[in-house]
Amino acid sequence: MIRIKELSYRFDEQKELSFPDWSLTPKEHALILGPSGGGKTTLLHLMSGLLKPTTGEVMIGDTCISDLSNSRLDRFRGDHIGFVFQKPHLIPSLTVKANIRLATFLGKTSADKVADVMEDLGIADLAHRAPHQISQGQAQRVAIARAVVNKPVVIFGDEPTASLDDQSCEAVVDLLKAQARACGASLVLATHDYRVKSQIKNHLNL
Amino acid sequence: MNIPYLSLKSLVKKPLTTFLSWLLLAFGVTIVVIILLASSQLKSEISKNAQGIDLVVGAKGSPLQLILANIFHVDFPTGNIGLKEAARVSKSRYIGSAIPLSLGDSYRGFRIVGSTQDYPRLYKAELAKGEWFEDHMEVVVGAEVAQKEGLSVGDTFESQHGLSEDAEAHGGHAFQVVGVMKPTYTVMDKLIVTGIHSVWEVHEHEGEHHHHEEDSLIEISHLGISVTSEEFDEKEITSLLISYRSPMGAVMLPRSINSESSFQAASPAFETARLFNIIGVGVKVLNGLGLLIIIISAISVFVALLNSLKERKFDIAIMRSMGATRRQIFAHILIEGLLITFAGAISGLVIAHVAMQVVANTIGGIAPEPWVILQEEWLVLAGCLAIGVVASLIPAVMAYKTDISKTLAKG
Repeated sequence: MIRIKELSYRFDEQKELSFPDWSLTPKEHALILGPSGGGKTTLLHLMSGLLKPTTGEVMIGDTCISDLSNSRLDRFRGDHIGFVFQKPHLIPSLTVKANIRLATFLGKTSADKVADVMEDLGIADLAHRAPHQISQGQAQRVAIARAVVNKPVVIFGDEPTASLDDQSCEAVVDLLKAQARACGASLVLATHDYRVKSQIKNHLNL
Repeated sequence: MNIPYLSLKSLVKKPLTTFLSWLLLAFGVTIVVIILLASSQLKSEISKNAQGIDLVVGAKGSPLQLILANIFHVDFPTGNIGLKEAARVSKSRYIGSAIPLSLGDSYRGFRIVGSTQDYPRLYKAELAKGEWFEDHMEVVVGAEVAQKEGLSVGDTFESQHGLSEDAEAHGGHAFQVVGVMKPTYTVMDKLIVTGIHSVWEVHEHEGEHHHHEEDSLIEISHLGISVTSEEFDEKEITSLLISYRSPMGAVMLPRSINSESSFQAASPAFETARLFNIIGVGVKVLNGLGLLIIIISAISVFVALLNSLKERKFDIAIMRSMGATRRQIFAHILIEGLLITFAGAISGLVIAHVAMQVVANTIGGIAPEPWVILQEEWLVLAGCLAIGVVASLIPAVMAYKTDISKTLAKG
């Protein structure tokens, strides 16, 4: 379960964003919709603990993450949260496999699942390639593998489909949904991509 | 997987930058360590070869030359001194022992030293084969001479006048090898030692033949030789190696010899210290150069890390989003700097020792020990690591402070 209450974030004197109270049941999929600059990314960062809210609280499961210390928050993020961004942003110095392995290392979980996840996402034969040797679509799959390998309770996506064509867009959303279902995680995507709207019905409009 | 692995991977990813930083540091460390090794080896060689010799007495000239020629056998002698006066001077009550040396001949570049058995004894030389020289024209050869020239007991050879390899040969006076010394790892290994009479005999002019007038021998007991009265008056030696009877000798003896005789006295300790002062300027310049290169390398590490940080800002934010703590990111960058400085420093140390080995093989002779690790080397290593820390600290702090939310929002 994810719940936000009286959440607001102040950037500076002039700019402050506040967000409606909202909650999500476990394993539920949802979209955060809104125009550019409307605070989608900020909300995503607040919900994942990358930003500390000015007021209000964020609950993930039984944990109030706005109360965690910095290092416990890092731990929590590694353990319970998976991220997918608009671009894959793989670490260029590591192979595909090592990129996914990195997530298990930083999340302090077992590396056993790395091979299975790669098999699942159809990237097993890319294991020893460098990020610059694979296509954008393949890289996005690696990024998804990296997000799900620790069996998170929630997967956040920040415009994961924005730079994809229609076909890949649908494939990626399907993949995210399937992977979220497979590891029993909630899925929260921030997007302004109309193509995604039809695929996930639960919307939060900012 | 661990943090050092990530740092290593990131270094391997930019091989040219890494190579440049490594090269600079390795080169700087090599220079500094070679100087360290060379001066320490030189000092230990000098003290090994000058042990037991407090003072060298010889003909007037450069005192440094006197020392170099008579202790280290590398320079030409300053000249000769009369045996009669030498016998008088060496009677001083400040003298514990005096060993006469007579130089001037060589065999294929190896010096022949006319002396007494006290001379090899000074270096604790022992015989590997044969026996010590007793009679005229008998020699004992040092370990290196025996090995390089293939000389063994029973062999004979003719000496050349002068100390260089292309010197003119003496006709008709053949030396006979009666003993071979074990290695002493001192200058003794490069010498051919014989009785002082043998050297005189080789230099006798044609016709002026030597008669053993056993009845009129004068014994100069404090020099360990016996001579005829004719020899006593006419013969010359090159130097006396003197050890003091008491510390008072150091105060009295040099002054009295320098002022009251036609000889000069030179102290090996003083002259070698002076020598170090002379070469010290060069050593300092080289050392400064080495340090400068090390500092340049530190700057290159700093710039490389700082530059890579711009490209890696997003990687770092991604790692943080995956659960990396600030400390892990800090360690990641710091270790990257340390790995390169550590690799550079270790390579520099190894290269310096290999270079010493090559030098030792080429010059041969007095045994340098290229694989002795000096304490200062650990200091150099620690210093390099400290420099590595300093160079990577600012980039590491910047990485530590990366605003993940802002960085990710931009991507």
